[in-house]
Amino acid sequence: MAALPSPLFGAEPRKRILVVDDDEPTARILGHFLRGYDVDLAGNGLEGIERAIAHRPDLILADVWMPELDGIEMVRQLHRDPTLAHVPVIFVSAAGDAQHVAAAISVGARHFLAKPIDVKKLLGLVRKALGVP
Amino acid sequence: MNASPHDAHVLRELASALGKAIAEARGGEVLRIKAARDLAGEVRDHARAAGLELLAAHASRLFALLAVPPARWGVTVDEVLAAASYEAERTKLRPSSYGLPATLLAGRILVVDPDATTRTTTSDAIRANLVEAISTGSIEEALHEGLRRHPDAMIVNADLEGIERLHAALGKPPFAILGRDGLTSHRAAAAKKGASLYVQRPIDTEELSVTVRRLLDRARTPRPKVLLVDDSPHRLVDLSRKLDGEGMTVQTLSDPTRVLEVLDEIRPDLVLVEAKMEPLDGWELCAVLRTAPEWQDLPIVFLGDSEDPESRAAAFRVGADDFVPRANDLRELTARLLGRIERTRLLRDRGDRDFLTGLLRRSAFLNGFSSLLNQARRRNRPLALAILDLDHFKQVNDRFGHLAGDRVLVAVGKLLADHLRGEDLRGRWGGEEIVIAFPESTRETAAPAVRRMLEDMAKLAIEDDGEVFHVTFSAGVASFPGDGPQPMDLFATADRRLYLAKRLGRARVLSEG
Repeated sequence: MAALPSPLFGAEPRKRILVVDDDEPTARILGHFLRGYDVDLAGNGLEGIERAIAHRPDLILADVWMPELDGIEMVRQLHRDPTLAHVPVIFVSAAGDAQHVAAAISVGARHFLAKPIDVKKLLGLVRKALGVP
Repeated sequence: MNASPHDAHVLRELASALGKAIAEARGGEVLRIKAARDLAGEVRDHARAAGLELLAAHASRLFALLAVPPARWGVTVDEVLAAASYEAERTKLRPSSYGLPATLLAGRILVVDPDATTRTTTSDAIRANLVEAISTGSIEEALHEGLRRHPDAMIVNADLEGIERLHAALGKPPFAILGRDGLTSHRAAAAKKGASLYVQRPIDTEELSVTVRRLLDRARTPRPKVLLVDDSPHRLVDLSRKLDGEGMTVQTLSDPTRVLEVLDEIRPDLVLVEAKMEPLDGWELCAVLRTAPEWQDLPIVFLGDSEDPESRAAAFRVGADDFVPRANDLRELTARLLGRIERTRLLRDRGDRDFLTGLLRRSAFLNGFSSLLNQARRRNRPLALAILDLDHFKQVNDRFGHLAGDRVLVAVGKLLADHLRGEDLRGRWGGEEIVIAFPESTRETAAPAVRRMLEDMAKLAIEDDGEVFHVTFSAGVASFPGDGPQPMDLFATADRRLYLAKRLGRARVLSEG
């Protein structure tokens, strides 16, 4: 058990997760589920990009529908930058219809998780995306 | 001697089956040997019927060779088979083969002209270049056909209304305008509509051939790639979306200090940098790039405040190619970027290729040849080199003038293009010397191909001021590994044989001595 997933032991630097959601309650809930990780918050796609540049996250959780710049456009933008293109993205959204899933996957999202959030499933996907057991 | 497309297709199929049959016959099974021999006979008869004498001769030789057991075939069977396959493949390249299946054609051009005669002349000239022509008489018909068949480029009559609409509907392919005269105002109007070339009526088939090649070159050129460096995410997002909409592939970098590490991966056609950035500003970034030998020619364009002449001057001092005011109109920015990229590409091409003949220049050929030789060595395969020298070329120039000499060179360039396979590398070595590399060929298999070229060359009537003359060449052929391991061994041997061919009376190809 050398590399414990829980960052609480301080054996490794904590994995950084950026949560991008314009709905504050959802963002707070996600932050709560992800305690133990170093979580950063952004309120829309544009802010998401700013935070991604400043914060260099290991994973991004993003909503699809947001003002200013939506989640899909945000990911497309992140992929233009070779220093950010490798960051995995999981979409968390109520918009779970086929078209959005297809758009999300086509811009390089790892997963699409429909609301309401299944916590166990979410944490499983997060661990998988971060490459931690 | 021109096989019909159908015959040519059948022969290629037969030749390929023959190759397989011979491979299978190597085991020594009598039935398989007989099958291979029968196929050789079939190729011979078909080729003869189609008027392909050389292929018939190779097949006939194979028919005879296959009468003995595989143990005694030696390398001869391989070489004759290679020569036969080469001849069979070459049937693809005959310019007379109208109506070839689309997969064999170099591209597809949409012709729009209400005048039936011009339309037919244009379409025929396009097809003579082994390019498919979609002939239409109106914008409506062109829209209908174009949306269905996705042309790579278009040639459109200048007088038609709605060219822009057609252009946009088909995804903005490169196009040429066919105009009545060469007036600058008409050319300008065409350029304004987005045409990249202007062709004058009546149609000159030579000029149209060049136009066809240019259009397809342009269609094959990938979207220009721009690296946008800016530490402001807002500006990055805004500008990258805009440029994307103008047909560029945009990559971004928000951390200017990482520019060198990402450049290698991205290899952009141009870098667009914001002048004011942290912690490395545009001027510093530009200076850094210009210290790296591999990025000396990379176009760098600044985005900054136009009011400050000193900051502009400073940009040019550190090696910027252009400085565009930040508040500039998107159309102007796009035009400046695309113009810069296009001219850089043209310069690169002009450096590598000889304009008259379309052949590679000496250094570009040498580079290509060295890598082919390395490849041959790695895979343990042969590689042949031929050096051709035009006979009495000096006299042609003296007697008919340099223009006639140029005409001869253009004709030779086309002859080579018609005769050689795509993978054969060809270059112009000196004034009247031409070099050709034949991958997967020995001097025994390459020499007949060069001889065939000589036969066609001698038949070619070149006209100048009413006088008709003919030109021949002499050639020397050498190959790896037989004639040496290094490029220079092959060049020296081929050159010696070329000299010998000249001494023996010219107009001949030597692969020995």
